[in-house]
Amino acid sequence: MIHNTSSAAASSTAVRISIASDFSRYPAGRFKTDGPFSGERFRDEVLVPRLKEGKKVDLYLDGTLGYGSSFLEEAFGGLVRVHGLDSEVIDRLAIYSSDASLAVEIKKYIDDAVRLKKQR
Amino acid sequence: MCALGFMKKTRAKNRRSIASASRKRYRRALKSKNVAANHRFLVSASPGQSRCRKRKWQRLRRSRLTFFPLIAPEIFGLIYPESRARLLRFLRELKRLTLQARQPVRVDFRNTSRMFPEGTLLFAAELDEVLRMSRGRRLVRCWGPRDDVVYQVLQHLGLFSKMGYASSAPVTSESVFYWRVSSGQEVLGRLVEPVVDYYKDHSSAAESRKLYDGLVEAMTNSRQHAYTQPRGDFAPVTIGGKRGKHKAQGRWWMYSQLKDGKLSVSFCDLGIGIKRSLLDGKTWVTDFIEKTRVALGIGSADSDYIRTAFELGKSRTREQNRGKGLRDLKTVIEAVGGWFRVLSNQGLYRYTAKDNRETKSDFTDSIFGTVISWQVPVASKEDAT
Repeated sequence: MIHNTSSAAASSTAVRISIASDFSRYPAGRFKTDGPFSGERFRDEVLVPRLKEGKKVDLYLDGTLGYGSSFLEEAFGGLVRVHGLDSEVIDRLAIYSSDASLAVEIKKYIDDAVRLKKQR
Repeated sequence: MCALGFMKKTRAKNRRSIASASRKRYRRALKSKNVAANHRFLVSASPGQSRCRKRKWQRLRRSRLTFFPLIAPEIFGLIYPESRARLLRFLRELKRLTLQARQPVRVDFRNTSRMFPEGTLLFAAELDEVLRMSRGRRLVRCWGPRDDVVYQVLQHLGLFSKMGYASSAPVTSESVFYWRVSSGQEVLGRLVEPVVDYYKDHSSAAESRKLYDGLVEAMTNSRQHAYTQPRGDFAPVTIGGKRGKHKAQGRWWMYSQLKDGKLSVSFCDLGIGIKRSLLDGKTWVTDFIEKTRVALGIGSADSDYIRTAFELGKSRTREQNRGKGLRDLKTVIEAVGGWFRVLSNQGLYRYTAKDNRETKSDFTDSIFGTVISWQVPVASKEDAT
């Protein structure tokens, strides 16, 4: 589920995660060995625990300096590839960003990971 | 008694013989061009010498042999073949003497007249590696340059202090003052914040985000792909990666400058280069890369693989997610203008937004690493409106 920050109101029952305030303004790198604010660390320590609680998750992307593509791919593609989360779980994730291309890019990483998983 | 006297005599004879042999070795060593051998010999040849001769040898070791003079090239540049060949020969000699022969050197900058960012960055990176591998031994010292601007470059970029050269002269040259240095081993976004923040104030959010993406992806690539095999030069083997036995080194160096409405950045790693890193991996990934390259009619030189990396940047799956940072940088430059260059081992790839022209070429000598440079115009928002 992808939302534009300005046009959509977040669900009141959902868990709110702002990457800038709850994780880092400088997300970068793929694996934990790359640096302190890597995609793998964000996925394992922030995103997956919230998703596994069974609640909806509103994820806010604004406020950071940017996102390296390795960070995004590992954080979101890894939900499928590493944790094996199915589409029902991932559908509970709502992404809010003023930059629509960012949310589209994330969806693409998840779709690619699902496609690759099916191929193997 | 007799037997003891004979023994004493023999010992004295032995001493004379040892001293004589040592003198001969000393003369031979001085004549020899193998300075490292000289150094080793002089260190071990101290027994049997007189105090006067010992002092003389110590003087010789200090003045002539302890620090081997190494003349720095006139121009520190990597684009023009002649200056590039001289710089790379100098770097090769620096590494050979310090890392292989363990010979301290004194770099002579007196003839150096121009220092371009790419060449200077590569030198700074190699110097850092030499100092890191020498484990506290100060193997590199220098003689200061005659040229005032070169003097300021070496001081401002911290190269003098690395070579133990005391200097506190003020940096007054505008071509030097605005350069900033960063380096690290990890992918740390905060290190590029000054560059991206300034750019964010003068351009759209999407462009500054892409610039951030390009910079941190360059760091990620140097961390994950650059140091997976030996470089092939004199540096000791460093094998790392996520599953590597040793922790990956992943070191990178960056110079940036904001001046006259232009942002210039040079980024360097001392890894295996783009071509080897693309071909180093799982078989099916390598197959995919090779199929892409062949389908596009691209050759197999270093510069061809740099271009292939740009094409691969269009793909987004995990294993094929290579060259995305390069692609992002190109997107920024296509949008706002400017140019960029990628030097990787023997290859050179250039792109200029003005005439949308890309050129590639290959040199005969390798830089044993990757240097990415770009320059983008930074127009203020007031100018744009």
